[in-house]
Amino acid sequence: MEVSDLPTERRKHRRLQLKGDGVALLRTPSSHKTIVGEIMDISVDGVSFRYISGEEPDHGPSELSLVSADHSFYLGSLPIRTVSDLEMAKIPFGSVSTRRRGLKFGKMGLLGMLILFLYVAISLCNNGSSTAYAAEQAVSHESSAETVNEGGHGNSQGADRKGDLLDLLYRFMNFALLVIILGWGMKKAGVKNLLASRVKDIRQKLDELKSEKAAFESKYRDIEERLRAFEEEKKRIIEEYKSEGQAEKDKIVAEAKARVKQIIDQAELIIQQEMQSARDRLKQEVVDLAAEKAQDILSKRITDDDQDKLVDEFIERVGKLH
Amino acid sequence: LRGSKVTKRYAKALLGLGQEDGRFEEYGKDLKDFTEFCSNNEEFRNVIANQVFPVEDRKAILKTVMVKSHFSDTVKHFLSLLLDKNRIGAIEEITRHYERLTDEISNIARAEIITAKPLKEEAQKKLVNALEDLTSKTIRAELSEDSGLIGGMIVKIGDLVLNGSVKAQLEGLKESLKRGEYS
Repeated sequence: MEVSDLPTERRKHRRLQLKGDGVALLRTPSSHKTIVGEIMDISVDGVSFRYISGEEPDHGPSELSLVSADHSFYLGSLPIRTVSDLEMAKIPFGSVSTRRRGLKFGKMGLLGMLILFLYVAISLCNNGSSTAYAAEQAVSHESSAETVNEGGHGNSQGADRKGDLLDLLYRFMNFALLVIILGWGMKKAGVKNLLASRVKDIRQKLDELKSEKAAFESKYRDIEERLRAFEEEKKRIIEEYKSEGQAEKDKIVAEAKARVKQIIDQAELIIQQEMQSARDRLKQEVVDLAAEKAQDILSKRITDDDQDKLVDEFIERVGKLH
Repeated sequence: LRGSKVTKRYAKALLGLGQEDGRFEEYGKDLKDFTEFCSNNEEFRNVIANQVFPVEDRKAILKTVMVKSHFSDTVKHFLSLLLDKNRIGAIEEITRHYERLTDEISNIARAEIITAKPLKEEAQKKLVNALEDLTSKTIRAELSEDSGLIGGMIVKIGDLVLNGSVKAQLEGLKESLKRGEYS
């Protein structure tokens, strides 16, 4: 970004002109460079200083430190943002030039703000001005609207310190009047009673909360007791199931044993039957073979006399049937 | 079964006629002769029993045979009727039933005698006498041989069976052994 492209410095707060009353040290950690310059003006919003530079300016993230002229005050590591960096004059016979850099303060804590005010006040004192100006800056910081109005006066009041002091006096009186009216109004409105009532309410609420806490503790103990009872019941049920399981197991084993015995008995019976059947078959085969053999032998050996004898026996038996 | 009933009916009808005129034995003999003729002349039997041929032709053939036969007129008419009713093919069965009926009327029992070896005449007479004593009927023996009997004989009279064969005795012995009666 070119310097000329940087936004124009437009601080809302009044500037205090300082000529050789303070030194600004701008340190850029990324490039390890430190610029030392003379503070030209300062406000609670920002600061500008001039410095001599022979290089291209570095506008990266930087930290600002302010040192008073008599080295009695030091304010370091202020968060800033560069809003302008203008070349003021070229030094003959070289590339060195005088530049003016305008910085805007970043967000600071209350302590940082107070120290800054203090620095401005010290600078004013060193510069032969009234310390009331620093107080005025503080008031103007709290009420930005007023500061904006006053900002319209510009640098003309910076020259007239007396007028500033009167203005500061009026403001102080105004503020004091505001405080008195506010105190009277609060008394009239019974803020004390309100606060007392509030305290009472809070105490009552606290008591309620305590009773609720006690109730919850009681409930907690009750739940704890039930949980304990539940655990015991769980153990009892598990034991019961274990005993039932054991009984069932014993029953199954007994049934299985009985079944095994039955199967063995049945198998033995079947074996006996099969053996008997085999014996019978064998016997029948033997008888069949014997009968067949006997038939063959008789067929070969039977004679006519045998036949006649058989016929006679047959006729005799028929005769006996009558 | 239906054919059997029909043949019995025809046999009874002829017997009724025979009993009326007292010639049932002669009719029986004629039927037996015709049945034997049919058995000896298979072609003749096939022709007269086959309905493929016209009934007039078959009747003409039968008539030709009848003319040359000594059969009584009743039997001739009976055979002609059988041919008209397409029952001539059952002549053997009708003849058997007719004989059975005439046997009952004449108190005759037919005994089927099966022997392992030829039966001697003397033994046959003794057997017939014994059977006649047993059945109180005149026995007409029908002899046959079966070497499978090994020895002895079998006599069948109607439903009565007298088994005196060696084979039957062997079978009985075998069954007794199987039943363990001798163990």
